[in-house]
Amino acid sequence: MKANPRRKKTVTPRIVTPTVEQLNTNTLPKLDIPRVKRIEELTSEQRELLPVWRDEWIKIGLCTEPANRPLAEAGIRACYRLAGFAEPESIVWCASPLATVTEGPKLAKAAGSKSNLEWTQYLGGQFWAGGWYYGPAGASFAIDACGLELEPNMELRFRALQAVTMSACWWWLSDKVCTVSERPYIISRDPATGRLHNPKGPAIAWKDGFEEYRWRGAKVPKEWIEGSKNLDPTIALTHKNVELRRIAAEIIGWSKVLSAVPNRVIDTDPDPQIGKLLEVDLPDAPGSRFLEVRCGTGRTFCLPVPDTMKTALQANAWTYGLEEASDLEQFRDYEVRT
Amino acid sequence: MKRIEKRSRRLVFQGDIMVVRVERFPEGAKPLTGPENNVVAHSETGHHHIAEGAEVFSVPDGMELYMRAIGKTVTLRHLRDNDTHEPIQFDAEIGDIFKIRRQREQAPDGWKRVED
Repeated sequence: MKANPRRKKTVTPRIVTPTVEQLNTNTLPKLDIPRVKRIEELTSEQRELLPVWRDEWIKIGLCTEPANRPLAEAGIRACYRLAGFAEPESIVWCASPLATVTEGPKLAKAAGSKSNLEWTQYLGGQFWAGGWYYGPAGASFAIDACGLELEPNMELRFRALQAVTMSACWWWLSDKVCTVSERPYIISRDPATGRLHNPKGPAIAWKDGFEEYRWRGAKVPKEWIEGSKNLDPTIALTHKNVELRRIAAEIIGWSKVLSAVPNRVIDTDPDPQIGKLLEVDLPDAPGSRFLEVRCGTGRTFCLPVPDTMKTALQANAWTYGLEEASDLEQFRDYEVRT
Repeated sequence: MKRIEKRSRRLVFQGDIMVVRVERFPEGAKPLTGPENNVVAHSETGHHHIAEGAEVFSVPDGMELYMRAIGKTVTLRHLRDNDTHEPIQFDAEIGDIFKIRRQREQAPDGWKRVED
């Protein structure tokens, strides 16, 4: 299809949001751009819109504003109708995703539901903006950015799901009751990696107290963040999980960990991937030896080793079960560490 | 992707596992079965190390596993989307055997496998 050059100059495609009235009356919103039946290849203008669409939909996924309740409810009712079901008797707002899946089944049962009442009968709302085939972000690009025209009933279904995704968090579905979650009011991420991360509080939280504490994506105990000033530095040496030990050291700071407990450097190997052998006087275990070592991804770990270790090389080899003096030469002469 | 030549007998490390080419299996080696039969290092936090192009065998020593090449290359991958240990590809002949050793650390009652 030949595009109209005059329109192309003046109209910048945008994400079209259906109105409550359109959803209620099964009416499709009008697009300002020409419609096509099929897309064979993206034009250069359309390619330039890809990052714009990506960023807009990421914003939708990470939105922490209060839910747009009228739009979400109209979208939910339209989803039920267009899928061939009766609308739910009630749509109940919950403060968090947890509440939707705990309250939903109880309310549905009380209303005489015949649905599967497992907590897993939810859809992700804003969290399912992109990603898999049912994320509206991809369809939004095809329709709103490129003008793809779907069969009307299919396009209505897309608009209904889009409306819920753009206006609420999780929703749990049954024949009688649909519970819908408000959006989180905090989403905090590590700017470098995009992973959930907050050194000062919960990385994600809803108003009913449902929250997660995360350190660069890893789940950590609340008190490590909220009470980080009082966090016992020896936890960075003694926690049973090495990943959490490393994170504790990152939160507290290695220098603080080591200055909090009497310690001596026994041996430093020139190869940081072989590491440094330390002797640390832990409150209940004076003279404990630790190998401080950098792994292939550049992160520093600390492993307890036997008190009989004399060098970092010997200690590192021990961690792999190599205990003979004759093993050490082979151990230093490794092929690669990733 | 790091590539390891066929003639190399040197130690290779990927995170907390050590791999070395060996001549034969120890006694009592049994092929792993089930959906995780390609996992060479199980992670409690869900980021396993897996083998591609090899069968994985368990042995009585719980700190060790063995791999036997089923093709011309054996690849070790670390299944994590952040701080990922780079994949390692060994050039191999069908039937080549590799020993895999997990890392351990001192524990109050002796030693234990490093948990991650």
